[in-house]
Amino acid sequence: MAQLILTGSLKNLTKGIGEFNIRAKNVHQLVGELKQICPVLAPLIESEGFAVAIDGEIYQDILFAPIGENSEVHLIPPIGGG
Amino acid sequence: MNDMTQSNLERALKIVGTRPARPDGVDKVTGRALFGSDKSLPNMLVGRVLRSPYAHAKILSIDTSKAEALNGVKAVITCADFEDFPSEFVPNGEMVVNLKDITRNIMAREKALYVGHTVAAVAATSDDIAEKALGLIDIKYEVLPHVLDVEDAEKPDAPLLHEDMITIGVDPAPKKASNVAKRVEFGFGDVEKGFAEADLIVEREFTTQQVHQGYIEPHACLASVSEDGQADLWCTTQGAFVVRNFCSKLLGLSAAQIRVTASEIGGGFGGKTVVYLEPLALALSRKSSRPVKMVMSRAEVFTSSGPTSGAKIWVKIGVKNDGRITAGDCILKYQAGAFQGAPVGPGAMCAFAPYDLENVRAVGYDIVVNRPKVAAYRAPGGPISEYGVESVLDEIALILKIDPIEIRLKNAAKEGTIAPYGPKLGPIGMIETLEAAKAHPHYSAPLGPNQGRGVASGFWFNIGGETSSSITINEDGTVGLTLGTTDIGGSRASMAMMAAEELGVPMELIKPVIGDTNSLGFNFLTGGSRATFSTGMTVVRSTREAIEELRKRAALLWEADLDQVEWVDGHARLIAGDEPKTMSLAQIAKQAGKTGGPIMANCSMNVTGAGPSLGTHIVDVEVDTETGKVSIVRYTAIQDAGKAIHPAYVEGQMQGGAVQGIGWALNEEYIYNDKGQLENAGFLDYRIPVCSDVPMIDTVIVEVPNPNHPYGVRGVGETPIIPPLAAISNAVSRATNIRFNELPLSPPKVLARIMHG
Repeated sequence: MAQLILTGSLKNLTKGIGEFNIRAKNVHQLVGELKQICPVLAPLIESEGFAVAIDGEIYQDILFAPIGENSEVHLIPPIGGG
Repeated sequence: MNDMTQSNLERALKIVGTRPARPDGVDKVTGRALFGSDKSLPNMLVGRVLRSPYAHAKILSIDTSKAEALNGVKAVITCADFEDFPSEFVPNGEMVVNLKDITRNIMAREKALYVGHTVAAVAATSDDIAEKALGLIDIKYEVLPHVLDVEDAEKPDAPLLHEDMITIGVDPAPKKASNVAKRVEFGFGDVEKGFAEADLIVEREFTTQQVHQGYIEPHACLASVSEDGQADLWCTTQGAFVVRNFCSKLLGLSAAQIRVTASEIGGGFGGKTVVYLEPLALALSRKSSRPVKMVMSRAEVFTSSGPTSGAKIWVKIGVKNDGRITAGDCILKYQAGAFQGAPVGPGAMCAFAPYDLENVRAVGYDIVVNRPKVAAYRAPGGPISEYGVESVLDEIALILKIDPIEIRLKNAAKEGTIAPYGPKLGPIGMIETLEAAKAHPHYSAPLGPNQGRGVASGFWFNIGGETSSSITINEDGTVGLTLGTTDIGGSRASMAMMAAEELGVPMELIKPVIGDTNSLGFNFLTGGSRATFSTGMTVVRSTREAIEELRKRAALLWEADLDQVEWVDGHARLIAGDEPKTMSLAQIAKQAGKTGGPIMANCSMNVTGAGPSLGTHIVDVEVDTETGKVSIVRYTAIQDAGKAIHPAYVEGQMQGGAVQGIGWALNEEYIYNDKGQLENAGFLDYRIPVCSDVPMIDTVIVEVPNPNHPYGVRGVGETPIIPPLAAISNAVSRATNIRFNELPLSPPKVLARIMHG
């Protein structure tokens, strides 16, 4: 099963729980699943936007980026630049 | 990695990696190139802005009647001409923005929040009339106390900029409003345990000042709104599509009603990723039914467009005696300016990113103050946080008598390292840049009296994003490329080179142009070191699609199967039959009409797979102990570019970033008086480096290919501004045996430390 790993501010929001098993096969499904397993994160993701790192590769606003059976998934702020 | 990518990384390249003349060079050196203020239209009006003289004031009333009555004035606008928006983050293209803040930044509503904040604008038939009209606008203010510094702004009794601002990211949420917009935290492990294991702990506080990108071309635009609501906007920007989306929301127009054309750009460096004049010019044009041109003065650029944050930061690093880091911790407090949105998030993510740590934490605070709202500046947030970390690491190296490159090598991040913001890093070139620095003759060259040598490294993520481009094969065998990302650092040349490499034709046959917002699908702006990476990806894909079509046309003419035709060096080649046959691109293009019509291809994608870029800089300084002046004696910038498509442009980016970092380190700062007025709003008093201030910046391009790009590109524009701050500070500290923790290292500040310790 894939794992969602939270660190820093996000882990603080989940009262210190840093790992969640997830069934989602893509980012779109992950957003839906978060509403069930970790509702405190869902509004943050919807309001401010978040990027998703799947096995180290960062996806910004890509709903159908695939999440593998044993993928490691991180939520990170969207990155811009100058 | 897909096959397409792999084949390019392995094959010998003929054009990529060479240094051809730039396609825009002649226009730029002859003055033909059109920049933001160069466009004019018949019956055009002049737009001017009235700005707040106060750092913080309630706007009690605005009376524009006398200005409107002045002969020659065609329109006057205030906040009443713009829709108000609730405070919420909404998608705007690829960005998430708070329209309540943006509409208040382009035109003050209830309060003026910094000196230079726009409060009204006029359009008139001449500059003199517009200037006179500004003086006739009667605004009644109630002046409020102001706050400029982040630590003052945090205090419970500080003047509040926004009475409804509740800090995000704090649990439980505060009950009272404050100037702290947001708290962010990144990291993992147990930093307290890590510090307990350390043989040596160094913690220091640092201060950096607000600095401006210092682009030579001021903000400028020309707007023309017709009576049926169709709008044309020409402007200097890093992202025409982003400007379109901002303006359509602020003015209540659809995206299809606004066509934005980006001019040539005289520098942006992140400062031209937002809107200031553009919505004003559109509103004035809509009101007057005449085209309106607006150009900022240099003083307006300084007072009213976004510089980057000044900051207070605290860094603590624990190490074993052999130099291995056991824990890293930092607190970053960044000025946001008048509205939330300091780049403290990326600053916190980057702070320790060059290193492979088990215990790391970075906490950041986004704090509003009565200064102009900050905008992006090369690697937003990164130079500040990494300045602190790289300075403490240098001090540790000195205490432990370890070579500064060796201590970095002992801790260097590599493929598989968990980044402080969570994910594992892919292939990166941190170790390779350090090894290249160590081997460079500069590093072992002798130093003279009062000289010191500093080293620092830097990390930037790089990004992809929404990107579109198209390729057209012309009837004579030449090729047109239409690109949607503003060319701010040579991307047209790089795109033409990649297309030429794919097609197997000389680069001179390729003509790249930047399209307007009606010519392509959405393109995110040029920033984050993404243009060569992302647009390059779409150019390669569309070129390969065009080649597929060229093969099909040749197969038709030869009455052969497609798989019997291959593409080699700009020619279709029939590989079946006894006699080899070839047909050039030009021969196929000439018959395109008869074989199915014009040949073109598009590619639109949301590009992923950006690879971080790491750099290491070496600098020698000489300190005049009588005046405190720091001179840069020698400078070498080393950076992993992934693959340098056009090495001269890559070197230019590295040199440019280094010079901007030198300015940040040595002289640049916003100087305010006690009324919150900027006292150095011009290049005479705001001291950016000039040619005589810097030696030739030597460069070394390291190439650790990004496996996700067909040619291995990473992107190079952001990283080179990160190391100079700490490298120079470390060099000055080593030259004087005094540890410096404040920027800029301007002569009075350095002399004061030399005199008084």
